[in-house]
Amino acid sequence: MDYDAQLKLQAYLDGELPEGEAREMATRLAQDPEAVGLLGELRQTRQWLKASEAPVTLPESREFFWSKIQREIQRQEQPTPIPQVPSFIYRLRQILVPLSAVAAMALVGLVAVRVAGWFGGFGK
Amino acid sequence: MSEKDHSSADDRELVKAAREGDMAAFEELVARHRDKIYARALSMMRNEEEAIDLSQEAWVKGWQRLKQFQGESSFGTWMTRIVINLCLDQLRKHKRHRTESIEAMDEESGGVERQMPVITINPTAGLERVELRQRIDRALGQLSHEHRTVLVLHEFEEMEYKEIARTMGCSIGTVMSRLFYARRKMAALLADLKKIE
Repeated sequence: MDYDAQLKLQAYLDGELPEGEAREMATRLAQDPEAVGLLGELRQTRQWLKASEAPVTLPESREFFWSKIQREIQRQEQPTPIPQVPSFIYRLRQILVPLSAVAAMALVGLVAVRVAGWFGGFGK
Repeated sequence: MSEKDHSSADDRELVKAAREGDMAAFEELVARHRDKIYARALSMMRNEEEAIDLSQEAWVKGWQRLKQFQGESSFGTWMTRIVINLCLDQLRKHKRHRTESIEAMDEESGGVERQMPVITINPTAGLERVELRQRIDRALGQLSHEHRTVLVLHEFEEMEYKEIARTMGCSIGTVMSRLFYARRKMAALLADLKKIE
């Protein structure tokens, strides 16, 4: 059997083949011992798995496990603080204060240059 | 619903109460289904600590999404789907840190499962049920995450190929290949164990 046929056989076992293809596969199974053998193996594996799932108990007490869930739910439901949007005046002040300082320094510099120029003129 | 009624209420009533904010009702749902959810996480992750963490996370998500539960399936099945998706997300994170498994490369290159002879064995002969379960569980542990997941989803959750494909984010063809490989690998692993006996 080629690989595609093997996958189709599996799909036949799982009830996933469309009706027409399922009929073709049933016909093939009547004549192909290799297909019958493979189907038997796949079927058996499926049966073992179904029989193998044992009941499992979560290894934490009911109260402890619940307390963690409850804590996390409450943590996620805490309202997040709304960030304060700076007011227009505050933002304007943030720009104007450094600008004013720069302007003041420029003015002082200009005055210094002028004064230096006057003194230079007197000395001539 | 008073607290003493919770243990006698059915899941539908508990979900209704929990949706209205009754945490005690949700706690009763957790108590009823926690083992099943944990078992599913454990079968996929093969690690107790991770399974506990992911189960816990699933319950928190379940609380947050209660309004989305419309009763199209049982509550236990709905919660199982949540934990399965969380496990798959976690497995994908693991995969990013892992090199590709030899099994995955085998499957891609046309591995042994396509040519191996049919195995006809009866591993149940002389084995206690518990021992058989342990052997099958050990064999499952030897599969890659992808192959084990597809087996778990198909054989234990009874999901159809297309639902598995949607859940795992792959094609139906990939689901079929992985399932075939996983089944044949299981048969081979159990055949070897039988011979050692």
